[in-house]
Amino acid sequence: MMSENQHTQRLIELLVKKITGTLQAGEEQELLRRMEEDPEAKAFAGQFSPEFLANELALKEEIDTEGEWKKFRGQAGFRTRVVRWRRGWTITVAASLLLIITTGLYLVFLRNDQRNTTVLTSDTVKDIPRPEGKPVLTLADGSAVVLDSKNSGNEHLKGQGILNLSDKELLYGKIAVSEPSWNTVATPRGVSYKLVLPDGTGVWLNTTSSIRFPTSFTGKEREVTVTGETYFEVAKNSAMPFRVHTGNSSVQVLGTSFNIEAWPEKNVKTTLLKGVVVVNTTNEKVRLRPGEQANAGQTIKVSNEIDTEQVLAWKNDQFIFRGNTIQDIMENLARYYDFGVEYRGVTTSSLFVGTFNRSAPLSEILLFLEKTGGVHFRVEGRKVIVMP
Amino acid sequence: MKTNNDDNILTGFKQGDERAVKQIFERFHNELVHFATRITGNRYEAQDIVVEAFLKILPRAKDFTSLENIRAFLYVVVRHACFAWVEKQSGLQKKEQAFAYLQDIETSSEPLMDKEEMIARTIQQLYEFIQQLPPQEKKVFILKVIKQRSADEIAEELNISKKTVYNLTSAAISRLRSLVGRSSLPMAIMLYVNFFHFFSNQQEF
Repeated sequence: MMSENQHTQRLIELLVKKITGTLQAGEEQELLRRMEEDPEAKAFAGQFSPEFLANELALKEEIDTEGEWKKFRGQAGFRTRVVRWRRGWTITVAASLLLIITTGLYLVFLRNDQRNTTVLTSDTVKDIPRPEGKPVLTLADGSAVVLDSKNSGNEHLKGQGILNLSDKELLYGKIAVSEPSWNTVATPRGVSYKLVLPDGTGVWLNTTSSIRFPTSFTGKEREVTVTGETYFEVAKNSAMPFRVHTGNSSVQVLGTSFNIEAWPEKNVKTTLLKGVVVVNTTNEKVRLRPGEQANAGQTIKVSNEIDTEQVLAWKNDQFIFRGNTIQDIMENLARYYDFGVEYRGVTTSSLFVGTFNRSAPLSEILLFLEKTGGVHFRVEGRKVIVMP
Repeated sequence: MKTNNDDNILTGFKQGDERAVKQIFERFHNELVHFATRITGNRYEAQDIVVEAFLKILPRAKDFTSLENIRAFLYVVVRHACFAWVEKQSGLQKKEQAFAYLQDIETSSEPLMDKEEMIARTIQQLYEFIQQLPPQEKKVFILKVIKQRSADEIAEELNISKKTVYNLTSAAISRLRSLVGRSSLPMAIMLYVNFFHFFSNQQEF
């Protein structure tokens, strides 16, 4: 006798054949018999309406196995062969030696693998406590709600279509409203946040970033405005294109994933991971292909030599430096850990390579950088002094 | 369906070969994310849950006896994680439901598929089926056979003649028929033989 799972497996096979019109001789009767004998099977078969099938297939089309493999691969530890060098550190010896020899640059490969790091400090490099702010949601009437699971039952949130609210994520559902109201979510220093908009589009906010969006998308386009750094996975809807506004440019989207850096007083950088986007400034329009980055200043410059893993490191709560100057690195760290930077003496022109978890204390990252011998730090209050 | 190639993948997987792990990931990732999205209603959470589940199979690679065995194990792990998440999100309402699942798994010698798993597997089989069609046939097939739209509508939407719609549909069906013919029946029965054996040895994860 067939086991229950064998019966189920066979039922599934017959159903798929039925749906696709490929039942073979005798199988139609077999399917009918199975459904007669098992009322649950009949009920199960009954739910595969054309609409249901089309929806589920569309959902599957959107799943990004390739992208998720990359995420998994990193976490599973499939990496370049590495030699362990002291506890918790790894160094790709051959590669770094080769680079030092061939380029004369100071490259050191560091990685903090420890999940629970202890605070390392020295006399000069003390830790700066990480900032303690939380993301805030501002509603159309100007009232503000701290995005903390404690506030999930907040009165103000009724009627906004919010399905879930926690420290990490805010989830909107579709609601029918005659007049959508505009909400804003902003992150403070040291915090990143994820939200899902009413249309299912996923948005990740890096530290000190914000997004303004309607609680329901109406009209011809789905429009939002962002500051700081944001990553989008836009839900497909060709009838209603998506548009992201930043200070001096806007990005027109046709169902896709991309990252926008719109830091104050910097050029807006748009990096496309998947799909198609068009970057617009007042006098220019550029269409990007996956892997390309548009740098919108006076004109739009497009580069295709982009390390997308580095661009998106923040989304995985990492800092990835691959041949960055100390100024680049300090700017990145200061934005997250909230401190001022002062340069004393001749600043090193070395380039640094390393990967750090953002959960690490700042002092640890600074001490790792010091170990290269190319740079030294002194921490005074919330200020870091960079010395040769 | 079990093939020689599957045996190679399983062997590679047990030896920790990245290519084999990748093939397994690529084969089951989509259906598991689909499954988890249906339970959690949240695609991003679903993606994270599925990656976590794949991480869980690596240390126990040696215990698996077939790819179907791995697939069934992944479904169980993903289901647990989804219910844990739903429970966390919505307080206690769903707890009883989740508890019922746990009991199911512990008391039956082979884990029974729940309705969501059956749906995910059905849609996956359909999806794999359709993926084998050439692009134009696939497009017409989805509109005509799956969505059951009229030939007139499809002809207009794709800017082709009605006759082409019919031709492409019947070409797609006969292509699928010939594919079905090749993968013969015993497959469904073979899958669960090793499956039973595996789960009687697995207590917890």
